[in-house]
Amino acid sequence: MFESVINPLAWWGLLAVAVPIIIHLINRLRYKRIEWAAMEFLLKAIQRYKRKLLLEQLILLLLRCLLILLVVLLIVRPLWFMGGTGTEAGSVHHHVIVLDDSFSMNDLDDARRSDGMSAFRRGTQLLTDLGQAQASSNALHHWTLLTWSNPTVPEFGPSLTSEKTEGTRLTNETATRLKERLDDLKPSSLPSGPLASLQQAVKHLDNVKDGRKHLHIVSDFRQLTWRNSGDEVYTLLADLSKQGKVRVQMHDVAQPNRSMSTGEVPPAHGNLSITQLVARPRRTADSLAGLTDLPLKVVTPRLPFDVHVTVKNFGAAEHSKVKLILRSDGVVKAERLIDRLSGGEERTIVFNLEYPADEVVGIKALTARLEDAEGRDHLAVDDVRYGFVELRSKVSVLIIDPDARSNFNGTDWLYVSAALTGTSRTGIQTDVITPRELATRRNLTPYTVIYLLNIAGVGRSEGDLDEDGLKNLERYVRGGGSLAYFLGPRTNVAIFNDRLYNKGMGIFPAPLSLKPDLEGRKSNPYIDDEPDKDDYYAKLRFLKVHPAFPFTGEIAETFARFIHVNRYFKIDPQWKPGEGFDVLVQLMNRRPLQLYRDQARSLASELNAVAGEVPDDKLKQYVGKIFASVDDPEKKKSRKGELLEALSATLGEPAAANFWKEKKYAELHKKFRDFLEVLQQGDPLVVEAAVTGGAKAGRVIAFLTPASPTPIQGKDYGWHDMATGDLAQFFFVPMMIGLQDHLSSQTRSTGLTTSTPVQQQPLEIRLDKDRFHPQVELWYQADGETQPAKIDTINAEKVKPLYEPTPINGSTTKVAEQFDWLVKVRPLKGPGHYRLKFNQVSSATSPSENAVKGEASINLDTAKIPEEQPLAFNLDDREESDLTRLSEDQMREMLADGLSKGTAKTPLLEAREYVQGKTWFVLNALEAQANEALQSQSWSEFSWVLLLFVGLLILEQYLAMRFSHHV
Amino acid sequence: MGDDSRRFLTPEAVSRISRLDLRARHVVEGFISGMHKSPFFGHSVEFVQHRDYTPGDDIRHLDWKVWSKTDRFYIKQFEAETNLRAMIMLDVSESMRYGKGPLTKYEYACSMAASLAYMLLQQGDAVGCITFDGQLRHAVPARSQQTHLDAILQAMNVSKPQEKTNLESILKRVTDNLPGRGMVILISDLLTDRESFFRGLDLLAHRRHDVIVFHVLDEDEVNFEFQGTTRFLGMEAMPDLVCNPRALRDGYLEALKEYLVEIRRGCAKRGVEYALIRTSDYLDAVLARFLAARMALRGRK
Repeated sequence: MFESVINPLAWWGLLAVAVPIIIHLINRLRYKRIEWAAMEFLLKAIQRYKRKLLLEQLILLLLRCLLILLVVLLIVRPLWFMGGTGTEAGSVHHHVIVLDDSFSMNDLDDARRSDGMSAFRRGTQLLTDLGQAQASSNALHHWTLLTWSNPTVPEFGPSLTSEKTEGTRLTNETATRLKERLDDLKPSSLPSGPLASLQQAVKHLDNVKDGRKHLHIVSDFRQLTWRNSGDEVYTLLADLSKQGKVRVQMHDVAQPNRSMSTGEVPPAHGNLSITQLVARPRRTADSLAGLTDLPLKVVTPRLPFDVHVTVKNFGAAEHSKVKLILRSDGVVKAERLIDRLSGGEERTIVFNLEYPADEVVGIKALTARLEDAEGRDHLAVDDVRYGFVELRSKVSVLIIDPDARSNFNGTDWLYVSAALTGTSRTGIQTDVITPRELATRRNLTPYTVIYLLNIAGVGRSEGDLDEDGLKNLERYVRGGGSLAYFLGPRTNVAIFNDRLYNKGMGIFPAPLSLKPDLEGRKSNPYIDDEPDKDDYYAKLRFLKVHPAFPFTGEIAETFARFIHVNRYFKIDPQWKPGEGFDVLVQLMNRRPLQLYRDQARSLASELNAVAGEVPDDKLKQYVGKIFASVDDPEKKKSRKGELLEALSATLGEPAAANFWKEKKYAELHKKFRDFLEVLQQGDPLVVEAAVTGGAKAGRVIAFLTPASPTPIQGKDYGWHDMATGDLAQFFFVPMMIGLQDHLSSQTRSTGLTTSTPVQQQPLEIRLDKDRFHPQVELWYQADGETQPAKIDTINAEKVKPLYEPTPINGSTTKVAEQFDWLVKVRPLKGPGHYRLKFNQVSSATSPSENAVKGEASINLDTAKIPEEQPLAFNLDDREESDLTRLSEDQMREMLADGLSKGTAKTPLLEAREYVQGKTWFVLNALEAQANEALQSQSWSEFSWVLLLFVGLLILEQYLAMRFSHHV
Repeated sequence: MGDDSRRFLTPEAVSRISRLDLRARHVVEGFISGMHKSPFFGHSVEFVQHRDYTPGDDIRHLDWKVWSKTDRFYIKQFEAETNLRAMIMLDVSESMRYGKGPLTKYEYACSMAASLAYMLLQQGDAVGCITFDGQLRHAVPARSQQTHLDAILQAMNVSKPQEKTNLESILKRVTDNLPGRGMVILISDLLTDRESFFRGLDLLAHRRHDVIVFHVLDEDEVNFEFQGTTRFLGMEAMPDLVCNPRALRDGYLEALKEYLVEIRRGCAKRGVEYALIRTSDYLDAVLARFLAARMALRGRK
């Protein structure tokens, strides 16, 4: 209260307030003496007037004191006394400026001149001018400049942690510094909203003890950013304005200039943006158009693949002749001219790509860039999109089979390996080991997929994984690796359930049934069915279109009819699948037809009673068919195809459509459908699940039957015939390649994600302490460069591991300290191609020393090779690319809403009135500032005080006269 | 204040008032014949009436002219004239001592009394004087000798103003002692209890005395024009008061007006001649005006 004054010494003048009181007291002491005879009247008068006199005297005394106080205040002129918006000399102002530096501020005035004026430059220019104007004014202005992207560290003015937090006072010298600071500022690549910076601004303003408070928001006021920034922003702003007595000024720096009309949404510039760049496997069949492929991360030379680039026109106007260029490591790979792109349209352009055989392997930096010939794309930063594919000469997979060393040519691994490497274009390299050998493979990350074929379980026997092997495998999956199981004769259901499924915590997706056969034909852990040569109906169903089973329509039908699965393991029917569990392929109900005969007959009779309602015996004909389909269940064994067909035809009869819709037959309809469902519902054959609980979800697909046909002793048929004859060529091989594609695209070793948004929070990556050194190098590959360069070294932090390894029963192994390394990565150079290079701690047992089955040319000794992790940082354009602006009325509506939810809980109507009564957007800040300065010179802010003073003087005189104190 | 009792009757005053005369309003009984009407028929030039002769009447008063014409005896009756017995009552209480001008109320009152006494003696009336405050101070019986003036002046001089006025008892005493009808001239500031004053007046009026009240007030007392904080020291056992007289003036004047109205009404009700005199007024002018008005009044009667 006593700081912001012009003449602080004049506060002593307050003592003068005592003068009238002293005069009064002196007068009481110094009096004339008169001997008076007519005392009677005097006494009467004083009796009568005592109260009135006292009151009058008091009023006069107070009035005089007030006058003196006013004189003192006029001399001292403290700020609170002057009030108003005074910028008069000596008044103190605290400005907290919140500068929007999100990337939409790059909005250019002239799209053809990339070095021209942008919204951000206009903002900094405005602040520079404002700063200089205020520096040369008589008032004292203190500034704190915050940016949206990094509000905790003020760009200008002290931070909250420093002792003096009231902002830096603007003088000619500091204004120059401010200008330099502003000139250095660049819009960030972050999609930040105003909330964080406003919260910070509130803290700064709260620290201000004295003087007038101003909050300036310099932004382009894009509709999406401001609408999605949350209610809190508006509650905060409205509260600041109403309760906090802070003058909130919004400076819209976007072009074209905002008009006076508050209801009008200001026109916005057009903007094109690339919203996606992703590599996908090549799909040509039309029937597969609906298939959502996972992004492709690893490619091999001569493998054709597609790069999907999505371009969006965020403006309302049409853009034409937009050129889209795709580069790989700076080399133009493809170009496409988009003829027309209407307002708001989003289009995905597919580039066909294939690396030649002589291409240098490694990480390929993909860059898609838009070139707008017409110069109507005002925001350039989002015209580029970064991505990666990793080119490997070979994609290595690991096959674990107890028969890896066997020369018997019916082993599972041979089938799998042959399917994957049958054509050189797949570029797949298989590495086959026995389960035992897995114990020494600490680093499994080079493998895109690991196949577990016919393993027995965990233990000491021949087909078992041992504990170390299991640990390595678990680490691999929890690190994001992919597994594919094929069960087989060796499979030990009990151990699988106990160790591999492990109550959902393990790496096998589901528990298996120990005695699965409901009919009790055998006590085997698997279900045994004899192939029925006479059954021409579908024996399995592809439940969804999946990269591994991309079969639909007739092809799917054909496969379903011809594939016989005679022996398979069954998932425990009591088990309830959790989230992320999918059945990909399901067998038909294989139970004997006998079981369903009575139900079919009773349903048919029920239908027969009412079928007359449908004319022309359209429905009645099926009753006979149903009866016929179950007439000899002994002979038909489990063949239910005929019955199924009859039931589906009954439900699907076009003439009976209305009949089934009738309410009175709803129950019958339901019975039919349920029955049909029961007949179709067989056991799952192929299931897929995500293994969570690790650093990154791994993916597991399990076939509940072997990879190879695997003959059954004493029978002339095997476990199945998927991989024999024509089916091998047309079903098994495509399925395996699809499976491999699908699983490898998931694998961690081929990259975390295809695109990482540039955000406020750093990207966090967990590392295995046993494998990696905590020091990680950050490399950056600039646009057009073929090689990356190191830009930073990041030290990882220790954090609690997300996943604790499975405790081993009765294990005596010493439990080592459990932690993960956490690497926090920030895109130091904005969006672009980055690589993380991890250094591995050297392993005691080098995997290369182990015998490797297959081609030994793959060097699996990665211990000394830095492992690379490519990162493509892209702008997070969910909001920022849309340049649509916010009208003042929209802002007001949100502010009113915010105010009604604020601390004071102002009723909405009152809040509206308050918000409407204020001007939020300052259309010309400099002019406003100049006007205020001018006003202060003319003392107009002052005049009411003078008027008051004169008024009080006159009043005093009048009263004094009236009270007969003057003649 | 000198001891010269003559100071109350300055030559200028005497010369100014020499042509004035004070007439009794009522018919008075005097012991010498003077200028005032007597209740008795006497030997004056003013004929009043005839009446039948009765044996024993002085035959000098027989109207022979009527006898000669009518042969009947009628007696001629003439108006008798007598002198006035006036008693001047002078208030010499402490309150009379106040005065800011050249004269205090006391001095002014004395001058006035002296002038009146002189005037009355000149016209051959008998004048007495009583000075009083809380009690009777001095009483000079009424005489008509010219030399009697000295005695009156002497009485006024020795009476230093003191104490509180107590009019009722004084007036009662005066009433008791005054023989026959006469004139009572009361000169006072009347700063006393009104009730007792009016009761005294009632007594006088009852005896059919011609009562004249000269109410003497100082200019200050009438206008109350003081400035600055003042301590008023109460006279006649009144308390002291410190106040701002300007602020109190309105209240004072109001109270004064009420008082004056009360006095005036009380006097008028009892047929008492009343005149408010300020010490700033010229004495002779006041007297002249008063007497002229009185004569006019009498003429109407």
